[in-house]
Amino acid sequence: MRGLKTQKKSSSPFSLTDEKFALILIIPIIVFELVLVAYPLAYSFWLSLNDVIFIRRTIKFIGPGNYITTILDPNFLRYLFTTLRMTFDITVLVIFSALGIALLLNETFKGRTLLRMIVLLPWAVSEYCTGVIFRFLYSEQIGFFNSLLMVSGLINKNLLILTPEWAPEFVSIAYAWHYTPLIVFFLLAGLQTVPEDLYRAARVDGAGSIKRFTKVTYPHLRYAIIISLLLASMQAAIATDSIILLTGGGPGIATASLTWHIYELSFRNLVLGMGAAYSYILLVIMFILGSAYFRILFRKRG
Amino acid sequence: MSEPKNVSRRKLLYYGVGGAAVIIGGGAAAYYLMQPPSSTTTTTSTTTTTSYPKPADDPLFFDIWPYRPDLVEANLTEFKTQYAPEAVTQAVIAGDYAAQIETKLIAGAKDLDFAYSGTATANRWYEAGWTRNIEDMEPRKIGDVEVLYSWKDIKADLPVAAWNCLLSGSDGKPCYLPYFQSCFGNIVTNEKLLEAGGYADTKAKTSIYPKDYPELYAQCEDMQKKGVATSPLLKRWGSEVWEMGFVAQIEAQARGDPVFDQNMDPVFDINTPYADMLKDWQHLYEKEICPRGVLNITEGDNITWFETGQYAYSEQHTYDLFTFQDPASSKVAPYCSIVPPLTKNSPIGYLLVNGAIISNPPRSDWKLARVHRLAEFYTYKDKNGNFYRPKDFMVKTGVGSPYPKVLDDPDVIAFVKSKVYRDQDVTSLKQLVEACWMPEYLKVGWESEWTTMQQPLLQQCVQGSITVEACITQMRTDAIALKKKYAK
Repeated sequence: MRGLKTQKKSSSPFSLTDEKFALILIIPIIVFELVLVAYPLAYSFWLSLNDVIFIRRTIKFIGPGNYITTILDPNFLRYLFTTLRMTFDITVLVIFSALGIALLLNETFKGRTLLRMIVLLPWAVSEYCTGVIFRFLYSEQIGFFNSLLMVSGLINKNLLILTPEWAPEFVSIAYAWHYTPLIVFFLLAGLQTVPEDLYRAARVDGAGSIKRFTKVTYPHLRYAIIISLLLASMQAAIATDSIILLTGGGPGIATASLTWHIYELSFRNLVLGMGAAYSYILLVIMFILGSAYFRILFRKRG
Repeated sequence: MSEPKNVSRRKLLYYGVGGAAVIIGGGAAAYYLMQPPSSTTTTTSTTTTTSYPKPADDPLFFDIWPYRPDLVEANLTEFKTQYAPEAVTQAVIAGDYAAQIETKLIAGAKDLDFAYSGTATANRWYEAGWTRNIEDMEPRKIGDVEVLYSWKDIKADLPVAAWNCLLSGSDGKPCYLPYFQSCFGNIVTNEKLLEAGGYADTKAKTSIYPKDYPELYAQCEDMQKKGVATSPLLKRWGSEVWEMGFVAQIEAQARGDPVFDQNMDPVFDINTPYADMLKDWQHLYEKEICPRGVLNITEGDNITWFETGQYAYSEQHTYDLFTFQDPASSKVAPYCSIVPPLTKNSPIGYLLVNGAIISNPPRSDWKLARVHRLAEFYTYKDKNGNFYRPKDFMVKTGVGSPYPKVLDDPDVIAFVKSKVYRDQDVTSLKQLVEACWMPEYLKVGWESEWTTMQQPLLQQCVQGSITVEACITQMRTDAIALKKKYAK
């Protein structure tokens, strides 16, 4: 009854339609977005059209000059490829391991609550600390993995883990370790919505575990998976701290992704125009990636 | 069960606006209260008196990198005791120190008065106008704050080479103060491995040291063949962005290639010793005379690796010798020595006078005098005329001082003698500091970009991903383009 009461038209000057009320509520968010997103975006786009020498405080309009230089940079395709490669690696690692862990944690067993807390721990560790931890794990000379292999007699000479060929994958493993718990809990929340009756019915029908997953679990989980894919790949594409701490973009430029190069240009060298141009190129890539996911999401829903 | 309470839209809006007003009002009040009180001048018909705020209400801010914050804290306590009442807020900056300080300087942050810097960053920040030169550091008294020493006193107590490091490349004025001195890139040794290779006798404490880089590499290859070590040489080729560029400059110059002329035009080319150096480096990498994993490691890792005792030679800072001689952490101890400058082509490294900068936000003369007082205490002498902080660091950590008077101090000599492998090393250390020089390119505005560009190119060249010719051609192109870009 109260609900009906609020929809009554009132003569008070404060009476608002639902749309107006909603608009008033989101005004702070719009202002917030304009200040923290729209303005920096516009400013950085303007920077990308200029040659900025920060320490001389000079700025010269060069139009698309930075974009042309960026595309013509002999390493541009390498940076792009490394970004895509690491994004793919991280996303695959995160989604598959998160799914496996979520399915395990969805089962009923003794110590489940404790295990859920333990699983969350890597997420509680910052990306910076993750980089430091894995630097010690991977170290050729003083690393945990090498010591383990050496003590167990499997090797008699230390292994180089972060080779030019495989360094992107090992950096991806470090980042995936840090990021997986978040996705685990997204998926776990999705799994909680699957009615137990369906599993029981599937068991009665003689469905095995794989069939139960594909016919019962997956249909309920697919939207959560798509959202998780979106989040994981977006985060993977902009992962920088792990690269800074584990390899510094190397060896050579083996792990130099677009974000690493943007960091180098913008923060180390203050080459702001070029850094902004690279950032916009990355933004376009992220936009395409995000659009693709949303397209899949809404098509499925439709 | 009680019925849920509905909140009307009007009330919600009232609460929202009220809440926002409280937050904004509270923030504004907090900001106002946090502003340091400024000095006030009262003029009467006969006298003019100026009152200054309490130092505790307007502390000095000192950002340090994470090296022995405990020692810095102790030193600052001594400073505050000597100059009481004084207040200094010390912050340890983790991560990319230079980038974070630079961000603060750009923003004109009021919570930064004093910070560490290298030669290159000090020049860059000074050229940008974010830091001050020290030419107004003169004895004076403002209120109860007394500055005791002049920048000329500091100049008089420094060797010419060290003083020249402090001079800005843009206007020739001293743009930072000396915090510590080292020769970076000189060669430390593991005498036990050298003995196993036939290059040393640890009983007689004699060694056959290489006279130049090719001889160093030949010795290492020989020791590898003899099975003395899997990879006898630990180069500074790590992931720190500055390392490879620095060691390339040092080695090329020792081989007779100046790399840049006086106008900062590149003179290294595919036919100069720079190319020979890169070919040697490729050989070291290919044969694993230097471990390949070195390309990924940080400066700290490099020290830890050498401490394992598995390497015969390594490029290090002079002060790291004392770390390697500490048996608590190093397996090389007490058999770590240092290669002396035997010829003009010897691997001696370059002179590194790292320093401290004074930021340049608007501040009163009274506050500036306090900053100068902190600067003179931290980088020069204390109230009693002693080199308190430089000597304290030297005898507790071995971090070198550029002041000969500190190095000649009996306590310092006793410390050094207690740490070195043989007495002759004391002389070697002194000879190294005297023979070292600083490459002038560290003072140009484009050094940071140049260094960043060099590192991946040199790493790729060492790995053989690009040829020596391609690497040098690209580096020359980059240097020429940068010089043109930054031309005034």
